[in-house]
Amino acid sequence: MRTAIFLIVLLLLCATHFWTFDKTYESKRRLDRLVRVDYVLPAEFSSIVSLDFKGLIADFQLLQAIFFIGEKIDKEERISISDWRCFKRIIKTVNELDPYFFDPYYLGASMLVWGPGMYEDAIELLEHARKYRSWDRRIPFQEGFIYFYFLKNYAKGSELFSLAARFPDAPAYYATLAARLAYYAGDHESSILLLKNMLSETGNKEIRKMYIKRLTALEGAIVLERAVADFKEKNGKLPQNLEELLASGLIDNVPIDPYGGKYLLTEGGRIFSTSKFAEMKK
Amino acid sequence: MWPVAIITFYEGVRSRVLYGIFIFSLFIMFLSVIFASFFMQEIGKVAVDFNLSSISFAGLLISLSLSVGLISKDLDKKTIYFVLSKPISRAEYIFGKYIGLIFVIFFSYIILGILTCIPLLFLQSEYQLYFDTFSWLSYLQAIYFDFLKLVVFNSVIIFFSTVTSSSFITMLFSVSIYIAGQTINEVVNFISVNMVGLEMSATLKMTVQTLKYAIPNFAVFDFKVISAHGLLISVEEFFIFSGYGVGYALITLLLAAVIFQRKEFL
Repeated sequence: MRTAIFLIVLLLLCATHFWTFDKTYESKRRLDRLVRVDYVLPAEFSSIVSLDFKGLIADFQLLQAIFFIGEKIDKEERISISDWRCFKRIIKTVNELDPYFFDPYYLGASMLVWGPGMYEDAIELLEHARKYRSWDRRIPFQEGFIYFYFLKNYAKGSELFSLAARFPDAPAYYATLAARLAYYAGDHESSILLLKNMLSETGNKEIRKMYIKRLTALEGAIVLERAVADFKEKNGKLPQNLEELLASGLIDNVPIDPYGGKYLLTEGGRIFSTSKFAEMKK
Repeated sequence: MWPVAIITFYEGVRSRVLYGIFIFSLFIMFLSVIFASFFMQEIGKVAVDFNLSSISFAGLLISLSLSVGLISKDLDKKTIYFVLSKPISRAEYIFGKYIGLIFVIFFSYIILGILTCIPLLFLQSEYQLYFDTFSWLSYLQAIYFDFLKLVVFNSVIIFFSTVTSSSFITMLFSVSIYIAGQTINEVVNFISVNMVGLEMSATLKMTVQTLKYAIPNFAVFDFKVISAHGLLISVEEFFIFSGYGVGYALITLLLAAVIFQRKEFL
């Protein structure tokens, strides 16, 4: 009898424990989210209070940065510019604590360019990385990508790709890529080539998602550009608009822009999108 | 001196505190497997950070739990009279206690070092691609310098044990010196940079310049960050850093021996 009572009490206590755990966990998360986290301890201070656990503190701070932005992306919340600045400050602190740490440079630069378009800030991070990770070909490659793809500074982009190609462990196609990009600067096919390379070098889900989205958008533009070229070859002139292209039967349908925009045909026969391949505000 | 060292070593190894610390470190080390897999690329670096930090933390706990009460216990239990009635000088007693203690820490570091290899080997086999910068030699380098830090830190603890008979005050002073020693590098860096709008008094600058020689600079033994990236220091630097550590410990122990020789037991 006593054993039965003991077991019932224990069972009840366990059930209460599970219930209170879930409740307190949820409440704490909600309460934490009420407070705006936009203050980051300066790197100099973090460095002092970390004593001789700087590497470990850097790891934890990076996790904080990942959760901070990752949660907002996951919940499709609007990320303000001050949130991105806070993110960048955390990343900078991580790299002050451990200047050789690759992940924050890579994650920071990728998120800053693909998210808010803070190109200068991303380049600043990568310049810092190049000083410490002088053996790492991925840093100049990523920096070259930002110059080439986002800033349309083809000369600087190509220069950085060439720099990456000179590393002993660089794949042979880096040099070809650098030369090709210098020549065919600005066309969608070169951009696809670059993006595919970036995609093959990352395992991060969020970053892969961004690359795949951009690839889909670019591939849509390429399908249309090729159809425009076929139209010109067949009819001796460019189509007036995409509807004319559709009517000619060269394409079955106009691809969907994953960024929510509409593909447009310009006078020169190039394809662009109203979204400019950036997230459109809903 | 050697009999004191051997007794201290056996006493330390038999201590239950040591077992608790080992279990704690084991737990932390296996946590490193979970923690490291949260990261994208440098899983090896994170695993090394975690394991080296747990060794370092365990080393600090061992020092604070064993060394702090080492001499005060002998004074409290009056066993010091028994030891000093033997043909052992007070200086030999201090050095013997210290050497025994260093053996305990060395022994603990060997075990902790071997234990940390388990999660590292596991992670290395799981995420081979993300261990490209990892180097066992570099890992050993960080453990060696962390051990050297404890060689210095324990000499400081022994020094304070001879100054005061209270283990609490010894602990307080030792922890203060530890924190000061970890931050002195940054403070010296800070005052050596002329910052616009920030005037430092000459007295403050001079005090810091003097203190930097008196306080052990523990930050110079922290090779965890560079070892996590598989970097090695030069042979010359290795000997300079080792020389600094051993030199500082010897000076502190000699001072401790002098103080202990003049100490009156009640």
